[in-house]
Amino acid sequence: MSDQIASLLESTARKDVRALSRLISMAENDEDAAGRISFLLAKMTYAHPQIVGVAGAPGVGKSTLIRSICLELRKRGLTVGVLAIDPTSPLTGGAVLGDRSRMSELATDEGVYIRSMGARGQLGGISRATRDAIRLLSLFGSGVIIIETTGVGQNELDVVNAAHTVISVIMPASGDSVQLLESGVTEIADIIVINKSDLLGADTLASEVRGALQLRAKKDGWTPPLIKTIATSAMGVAEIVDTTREHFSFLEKSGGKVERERRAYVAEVNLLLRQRVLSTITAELENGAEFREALQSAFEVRRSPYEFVDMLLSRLLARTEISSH
Amino acid sequence: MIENRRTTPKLRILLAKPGLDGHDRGVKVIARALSDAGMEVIYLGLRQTAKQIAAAAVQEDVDVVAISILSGAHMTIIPELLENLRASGAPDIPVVVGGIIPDDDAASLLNLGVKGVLGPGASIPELVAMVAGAAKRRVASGAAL
Repeated sequence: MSDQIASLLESTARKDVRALSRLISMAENDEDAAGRISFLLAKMTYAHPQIVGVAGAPGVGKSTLIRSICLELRKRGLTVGVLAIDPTSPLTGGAVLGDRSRMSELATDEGVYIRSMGARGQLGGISRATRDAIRLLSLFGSGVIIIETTGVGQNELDVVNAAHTVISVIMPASGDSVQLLESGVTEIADIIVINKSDLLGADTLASEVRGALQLRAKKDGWTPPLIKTIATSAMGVAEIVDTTREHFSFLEKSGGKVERERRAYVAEVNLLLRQRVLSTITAELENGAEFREALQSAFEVRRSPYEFVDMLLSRLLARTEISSH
Repeated sequence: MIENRRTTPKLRILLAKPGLDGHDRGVKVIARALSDAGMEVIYLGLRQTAKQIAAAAVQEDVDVVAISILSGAHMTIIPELLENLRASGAPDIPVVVGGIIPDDDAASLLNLGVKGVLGPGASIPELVAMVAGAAKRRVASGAAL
């Protein structure tokens, strides 16, 4: 398999779309393949473009905004890679990935690569293989990489640990000023976009956001600008692109870029470590009738679940050497 | 389903409606059915050109392209799609078609290389089996690797 991966990587570096697509699937489907891909990639030299995360609730217009951002970037001569992540059903394992349907006109532009990904069990707004896909798109030569998060829940924080610049998209009539404090929008955002700003309430929302931003603990010398847009008519989109580029230069000058890349590295190691430990333990549990019996008898005597887990873990760790692979 | 295994392969299906066909109620039912069967369905929506569908099929690395077409233009659009897939270096991605397809046309489409055709009255399990079957034959032939 390694030979095949090596040759697909060479083809990807030569801008072969099929090879790139194939490698992303391999990384999604198989952690061992992802491991080999990333091992070989680490020995290759390629440019590392700006990674932009776009977060926000379903229906605020993330996909449509990304479509307009892509058109603007193309006007400026930049190529783009888009990773659009949608939720995977926890019940069936299936998914309907519909983001692409809002970006139809980009389909035949060779300077734009769009890939839809199911979250496949990850809850932080991006999937495990999203980071593999980012590396592969970098090798492919995308000038900018845009990640569209699942848009589910208020905890899309994983994108913060994968991107240089996070754009939070909100819209009028989607909550009050307390929600702005709750949702973490102002915490994770480097740029805040009020989309559908032709709707009633956009000005009120803007002043509420400004208020919330004043309460934000200033961390890095960058105050998130507020941009009003109408994604369908491209209003405000050039300003988003300008501000995104500005933020990247700011990070480069302030040393924030390396800091965010370090944070992303740590987050990826954390995720992989947790997955590896979890899958090792799950395999152990699923294969053993012993576990089911122990669980049943623990239930019968209503033993403390905490105590049961302590007992289980110490037994597992004694027996299983967590494979270092 | 807790997805913490090291290997989680999934079938990826591109679903689209080409041409000027404006009815998407049926195709949405199909998107849901395939997703309920555990597949990842990339839904492109209405009014797609053959070129757009072929480009998306390559970028998304799908196992099957499933086309819904009710307008009667299948004998024009499907050959064009197959040609575009060939031109994109992806002649191995199987295409299946569902819609109002007369028997004679269904036979012609199958001759052209379409891997399955379903008409009105087909059941959801038939549909899922056809899509999964087309994907499986591709994997068996080694084309997916």
